[in-house]
Amino acid sequence: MGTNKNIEEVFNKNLSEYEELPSEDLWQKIALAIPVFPNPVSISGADQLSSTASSTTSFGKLASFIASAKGFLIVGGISASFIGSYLMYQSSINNPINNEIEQSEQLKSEEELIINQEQISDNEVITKDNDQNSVAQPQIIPKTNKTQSVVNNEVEEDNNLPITEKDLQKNSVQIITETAKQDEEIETAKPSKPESFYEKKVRLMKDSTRSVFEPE
Amino acid sequence: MKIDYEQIVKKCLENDQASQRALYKALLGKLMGVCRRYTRNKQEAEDCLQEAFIKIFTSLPNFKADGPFEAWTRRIAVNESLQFLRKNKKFDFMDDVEIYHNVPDFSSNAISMMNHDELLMLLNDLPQGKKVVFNLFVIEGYSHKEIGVMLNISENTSKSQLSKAKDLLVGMVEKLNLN
Repeated sequence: MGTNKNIEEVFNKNLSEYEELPSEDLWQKIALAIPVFPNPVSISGADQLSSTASSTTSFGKLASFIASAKGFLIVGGISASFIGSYLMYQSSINNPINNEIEQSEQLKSEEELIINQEQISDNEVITKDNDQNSVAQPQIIPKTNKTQSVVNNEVEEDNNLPITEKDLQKNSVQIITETAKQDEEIETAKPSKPESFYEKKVRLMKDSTRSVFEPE
Repeated sequence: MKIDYEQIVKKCLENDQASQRALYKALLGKLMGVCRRYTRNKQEAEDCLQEAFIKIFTSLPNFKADGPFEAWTRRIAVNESLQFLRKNKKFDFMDDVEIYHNVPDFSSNAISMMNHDELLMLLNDLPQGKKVVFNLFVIEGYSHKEIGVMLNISENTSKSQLSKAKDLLVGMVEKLNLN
């Protein structure tokens, strides 16, 4: 069996590698059949976040675009849309067009506030006028419930006193003249151009205090 | 030169074409030798080799580095060659021992003097079944049990085929020496 052992050794040694190699065509055939392997490298957090943001809404797309354009290093846990929205907010603060819009809106809201306060002031004036002329002028109806109750109470108190016909006539004449006088004062006090809120407030306060405390 | 198969395989899985080609070149001679021993001619060997390489590349993600990479590719090449033989019904386990019954012994020097092509020529002159068993046992190192499973034959048949293959080879070498 020594010969057979020799055969095995020789065959094993000499036939381990083939010398006459195939042509290049074989590789071309094999290369065409090699599949494309899925990328084993995990998708980075930035790509994942960007894809998530872009897949949701157009705002998300815009936000992620801005975030990436600004060169932010996005780390896990912070979404691209969040950063994008922050940047959009920040840019809106510095944007002159937006500032103008905001200013005009602010002015508009201030005007509305002035109008509302004017209405309140008017009510206050009427109320104070009523306080002054509560007995003789019950026909002027105040706009608020509070002043209504006050007026009613005063009327009730006055009703307890004996009132003569002469007193009533005297009071009514007095009220008519005073009311006419006050109307005149208000009209003359009105400026030609529209008053500001503060100007009007000051004027109305003066009027009200004078009507209450100043002697006639 | 030792080839860093681990690095090449990693690059191949990243679809690096240069590494895929490098892997092909590193294995080409060895696997062509395997396929050539099982087939009758170069064309058949190249067909087997092509299938073997495609199988290797497509199975790369399944390769577990618990054994030598080269041995893994060699097994694929052997399996593809056997598949080729089965497909073309080239297995032959007929008992043709009578033909070489009285083969004379020969000097051990005779076979050791033979080169690769001469040995291959001798191997190719063997009946297909005996050649396959001889290849699997002597060169690839499979056991008779494994060969029995691979070729769907009994263990004893594998032993008998190997014995006959050796006898035939001795006879052929002797014949060459006489000439």
